[in-house]
Amino acid sequence: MNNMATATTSTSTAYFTTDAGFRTMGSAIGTAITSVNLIKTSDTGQINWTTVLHPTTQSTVSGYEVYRFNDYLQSTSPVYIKIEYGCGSYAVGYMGLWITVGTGTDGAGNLTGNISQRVAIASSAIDTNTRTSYFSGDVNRLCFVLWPQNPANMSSQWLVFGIERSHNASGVDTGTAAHIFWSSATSPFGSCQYLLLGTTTNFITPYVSQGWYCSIPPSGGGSLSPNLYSYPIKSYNMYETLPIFNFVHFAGTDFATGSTFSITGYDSVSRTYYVPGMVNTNAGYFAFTGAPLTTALLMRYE
Amino acid sequence: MSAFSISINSDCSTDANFRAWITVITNIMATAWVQTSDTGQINLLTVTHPLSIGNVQGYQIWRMNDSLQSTTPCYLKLEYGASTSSSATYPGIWVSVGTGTDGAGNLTGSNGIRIGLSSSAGNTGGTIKGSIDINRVCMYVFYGNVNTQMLICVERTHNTSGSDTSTGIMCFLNSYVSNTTSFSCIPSVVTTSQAAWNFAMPASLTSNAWGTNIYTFPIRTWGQGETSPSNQLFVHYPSDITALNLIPITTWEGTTRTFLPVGSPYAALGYGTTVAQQAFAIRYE
Repeated sequence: MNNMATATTSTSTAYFTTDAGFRTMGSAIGTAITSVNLIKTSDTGQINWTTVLHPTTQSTVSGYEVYRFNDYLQSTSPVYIKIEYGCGSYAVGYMGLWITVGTGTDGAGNLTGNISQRVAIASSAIDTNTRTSYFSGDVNRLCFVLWPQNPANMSSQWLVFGIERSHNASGVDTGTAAHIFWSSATSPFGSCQYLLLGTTTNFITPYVSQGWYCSIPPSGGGSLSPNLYSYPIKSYNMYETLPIFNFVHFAGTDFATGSTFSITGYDSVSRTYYVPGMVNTNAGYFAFTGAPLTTALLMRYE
Repeated sequence: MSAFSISINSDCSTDANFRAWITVITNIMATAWVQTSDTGQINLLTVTHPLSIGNVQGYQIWRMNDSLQSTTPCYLKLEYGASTSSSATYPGIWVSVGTGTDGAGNLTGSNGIRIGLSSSAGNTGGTIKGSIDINRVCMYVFYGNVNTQMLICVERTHNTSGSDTSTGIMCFLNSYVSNTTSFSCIPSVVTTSQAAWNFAMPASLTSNAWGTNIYTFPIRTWGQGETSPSNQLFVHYPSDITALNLIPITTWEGTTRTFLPVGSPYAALGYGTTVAQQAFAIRYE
C-alpha cells in the first residue's frame, strides 16, 4: 500500500482527572486513527471532544466513534470499527476502551451484520509521566500500542489492539474475515477473534480465543546469525489461519525497545516492525504454564 | 509411497530377538531410502544383544533418494541398542539427522543433535506402523503399548504449495522415556533440539468437530523461526477421532492425505500446553 502510515501520540499515561485530560487523551487516539488512513463514518451521536465530560465512575462509557476501512474490499466485505471511550473497570480515572467490529452500521452508531465481541481493554496503573503511544495503519488495517514504555508498570499499563483482513497464501488480503487482536491489563493473556465477513455463516460467533495463537520454542531464541527470527501469530477459527501481519512475537532478549526491524513474512514481503516496549502478551496458549522464554511484541510500523 | 503395519517385538533379551526388530526396521527403510556405504554399520547376522542399559550395539545410515538429495542431502543415522530405562532387555534407538557423512558413520551438519528413544517395557508384542517414501519416513515402532512405542518422523520442509523445499529437514520424535522432541536440520545453520512439538490448540475447547468436519492441528518445529507444518503428523483432541480408523486430512494447500490416528492420549506433546490431553495421527499412505 502506498498510503500506509504511522502516528504517535504523547499524553499523560492512561490517567485522567479532568474533562480536559480525558478529551486530550481520547481525541489523540481518534486523530491518530484517521491519520493512518481509516475513515471516520458519518454516524450520528459520535463523541464531541469539545464538550464531552470525563467519566467519574468505573466501567463508564462517555462516547464513541465509528471508523471503517477504505480499501477495495470495503464495498463487498465491509469492516466497521466502533471505539467507545471511557473509564475502565479497574479504577476511576483509568482509561478504558471498548472496541467492537461489525460488517455494517445503522448510521446511528449501532453496528450491524456479523458483529465481534465487544472488546474491553483498560489500564490498571497510574503513571502521570508523558508516554508515547504508537499507531500504524492503512486503508485496510490498524494496530496500536498505547502507553507501553513505563518500566515500572510494564504489564499493567499498555493497551494493544489490531485489526486486519485475512490473507491468502500470497499474503494478499481476502474478504473472508477480519483478524482482531487485543491485550491489556484487563485482558492480560491477550485474546483474538476471527470475524467472518460478508454473508458467510460463522460457525463460532463470537468465538474468542484466550491467548494469541503463537508458539514460541521452549529454549533458545530467534537469533541464528546473521538473522533474527520472530514468531508469527495466527487466529483460530475451527483451524488455524495464515499469520497476521500487524504483530509478531519475539524472544525478549533478541530485540531492544525502540528498535525498528524489517521482517520478511511467509509471503516473502518485507515489512517494517517496531518494538514499542517489552509488551508481553504471553505468546498464546503455550505460555500459561510458564514460558522459559521472555516473549514480547513487535508491531507493524510503516 | 507405502504404508506398513508389521508385527515387531520389543525385546533385546537374545541375539535373535534383538536382530529381529532391527531387521524389520531395516527392511522398511530399504523400501524407499538408500543405505549408505559408510563403514562400520551394523551386521545383522553377527550383532549381539546389549547386556547393559543404554548400550549401543551398532548403527545404520540411510539417505533420502529424492531429487533434492543431490543438492540438499538428508542422512538419517539410527543407532540400535538397549533402553536407558530399567532393563537392558528393553530396546533403545538413537536418532540423528545430518546433511552429510564422513563415510565412517559420522554425520556432518547435524549440529550434534542425537536424540535417544527408549522403551520402558519389553516383549509386549506390537507392531510397527507408518509410511515411507523416498523423501520421508514416519514410523511408530513397538506400537501398542505406551511404555514401548517410539515415533520417528523425518521429512523435508515444504513450501506453501506443500512441495518439498531445500530449506531443511524436520524431525519429530516421541517415546515414553524421552517424551516429545523435535528439531530441524538446516544446512549451515546452528539449531538446537526442543522438548516439544510446535503446535497450538485452543485451551477452551475439548473437541474441534464443526459441522461435518473435524479439524486437526498442524505441527511444526523451530529453526529459522518456525518451520513449515509437517505433512506426516497432526495433533487432534483425543475424543474427536477413533484410534486406528483411517482418516483423510486435507492440508493448507488443498491436498488430501490418509492418516492413521494412533490414540494413546498424551498430556504434553506440545510445549507447556494447557489442553488436558492431545493425541496424534501419522501419515499412512
